Amino acid sequence: MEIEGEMTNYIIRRLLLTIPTLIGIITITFLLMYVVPGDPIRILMGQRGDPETIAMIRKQMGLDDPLPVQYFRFLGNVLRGDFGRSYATNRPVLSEILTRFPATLKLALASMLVASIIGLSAGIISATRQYYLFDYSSMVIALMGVSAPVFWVGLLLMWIFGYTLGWLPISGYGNISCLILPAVTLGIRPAAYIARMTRSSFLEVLRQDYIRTARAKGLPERRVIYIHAMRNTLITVVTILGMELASLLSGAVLTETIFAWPGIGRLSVDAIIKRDHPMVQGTVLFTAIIFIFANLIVDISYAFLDPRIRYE
Amino acid sequence: MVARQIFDGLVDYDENLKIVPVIAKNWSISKDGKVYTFNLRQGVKFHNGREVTAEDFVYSWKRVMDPATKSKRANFMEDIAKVEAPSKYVFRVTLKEPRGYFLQMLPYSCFWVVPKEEVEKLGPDFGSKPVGSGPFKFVSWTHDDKVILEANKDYFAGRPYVDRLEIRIIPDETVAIMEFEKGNLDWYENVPPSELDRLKNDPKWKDNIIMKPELGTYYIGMNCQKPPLNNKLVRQAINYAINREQIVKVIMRDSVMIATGILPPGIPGYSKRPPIPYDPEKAKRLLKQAGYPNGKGLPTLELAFNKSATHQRICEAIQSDLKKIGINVELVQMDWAQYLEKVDRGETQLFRLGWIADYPDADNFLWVLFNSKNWGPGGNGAYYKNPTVDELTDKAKTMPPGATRNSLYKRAEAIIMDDAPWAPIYFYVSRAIKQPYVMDFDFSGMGPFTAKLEKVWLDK
Repeated sequence: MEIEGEMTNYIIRRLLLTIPTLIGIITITFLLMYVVPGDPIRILMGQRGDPETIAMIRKQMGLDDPLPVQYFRFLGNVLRGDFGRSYATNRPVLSEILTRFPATLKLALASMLVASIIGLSAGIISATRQYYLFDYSSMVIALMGVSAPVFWVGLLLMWIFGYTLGWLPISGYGNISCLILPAVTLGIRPAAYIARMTRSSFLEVLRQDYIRTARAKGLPERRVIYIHAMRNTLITVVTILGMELASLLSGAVLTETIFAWPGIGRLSVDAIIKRDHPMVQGTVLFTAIIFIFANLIVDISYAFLDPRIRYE
Repeated sequence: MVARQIFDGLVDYDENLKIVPVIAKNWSISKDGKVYTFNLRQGVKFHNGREVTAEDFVYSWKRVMDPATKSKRANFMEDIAKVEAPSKYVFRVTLKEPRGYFLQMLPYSCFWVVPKEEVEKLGPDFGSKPVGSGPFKFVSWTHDDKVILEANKDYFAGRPYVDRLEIRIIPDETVAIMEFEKGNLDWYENVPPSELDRLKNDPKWKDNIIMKPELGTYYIGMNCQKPPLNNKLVRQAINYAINREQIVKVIMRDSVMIATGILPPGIPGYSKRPPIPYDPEKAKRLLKQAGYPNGKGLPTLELAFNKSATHQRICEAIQSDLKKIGINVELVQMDWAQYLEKVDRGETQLFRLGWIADYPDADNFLWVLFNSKNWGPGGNGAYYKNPTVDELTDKAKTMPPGATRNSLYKRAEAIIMDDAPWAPIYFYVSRAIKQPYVMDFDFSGMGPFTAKLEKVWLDK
């Protein structure tokens, strides 16, 4: 009971702390967008920007108002849940983000699944077979996975499995078969990280006394590895997973571009290129919220994985 | 591309850029060239079933002019004094002054007709659920993924042959070509130069590549107000020093045409000009004449461009060409937004840009890009000013189309080429590829994106 109460208090405090963080993020993004050169309306006009038309549109959109006026108007709207409309598409920012979120979520979860399965198994096998061939080869592959550029991996997989063999769709958004290639492309890098981290933390754990005790009291090796050792290495893995998941949920622009996947990454990069202020604000805020929650979930899960960790 | 299938205007271009009737059955122009009277077809229907009338055109055009609409093409309407509907099927436009290109402008999207009741019902969301009177009806739009349209069975010119169009949004050209070759796309409209050679030599595809001159010119602009480029001789020297053939052959893999002037072929008033010779010796002589023998005394010039691998390669080639005559060039790359601002303000000496016609008329090049009224963001980023060119382009604007008007443009272009505010590099070429079974897929010099697809059929 006591512990649950502590936890609830902790979560409430953490959530309250997010409010100033978010306001800070809104303010910084707002100021940054106004400091960065490039006028959103000028960009909309294309190469030729009739100055009168630009002035007319700027006035209509309130872009000529003093900065503080614009800032507080924006802040007021956000507090009412109104993120405005995109300058580029004239669609509500929130709906633009929410229509892309399912695609981003699917891709993020699928690639985390790929990363966890490959990473954990490669890491554990490497650690238990240290200095064997599998260990060396999987760590070399992991190193390649960390260093290989995503667009290269993506195009290669696409060329082999989509174009040459024809087993999977080349690009596009749709059923589960469309998901496989982008998920693997995106999952390879975190898989490599996870494999390397799992291996090193496993090796550390395996040398500890309680593992020797477990073995000494005659527990089967399987149980020693998967129950006793695993639990203590999971903290490292969960930290990586949490951070990776948060960054994947904010979009993976290269993978999305190559696979023509309609996710948040393309939306936010497009918004920056077009200086689409409301859309930039919206995507940044959305990403910030995702990061805050992912961190919170990771912190909470520590307590479950390691009962010694307590939050006050 | 999508919008073109959903909406219609009064007139359109045929494959040869000739104006042909669409909703307007015919039209007449008053003697003073100011009043255009369009007789509309009867029985043309919006996708919601209501008939299109002259009042709809009045509403649609006024909507673009209304500042509250925030139309970025409101300036296309600035020549118009009045729009009215004297009867149900007669639409009349009165211009402030005669405009020789007015009809040529009308296929542009801001002149299309929209149904008032749908616009008012959907408000700002009209763009996401468009209702028009064109050959295809809107079905759905998955953002950044695809748009689905279906044949408008009640289309006034007969229903399209294709039942359904699925237009996919594939950001990466290489991936799009893979999808195309695998047979997952019926056609693709933007074959990258890097793939062109291979596809042209592939017996399967060589007869299915459609290349057509597009009305556009890629150029290096020179700021005529900034020393040392305020000296015409230096600008001419730069023109002679650039090896255009090499750029077109090596970097663009012959996917474009070497530019010989400002106006691309296909524009009325285009005159075939001799190629601009690649003559470094002449360039050196001109530099010497300008007081910079072998480039001595010349500061390092800045050549700015927006980030892109192709622009970078072209600008590097030009940098090395200019080095050969003693001009040192520093390349500065930046993102599009920042770059536009820099060019608008005249903050760079040399810059790269490409201009593709909004409407097929010499006015859209020579007046927009070289008249001194348009300095900076208006289109004249070179800050070029020549009173004769101003006068010729101002005058030609108001003249009826024809030989006399074209001769004015010809003179203006010759003066501009001699003044050399630009080094034109190449003329754009559209490159589309289709599956062998796709029939009657054609487009005008305005590019494959403007192709109307109601006549396309599939032989399979």
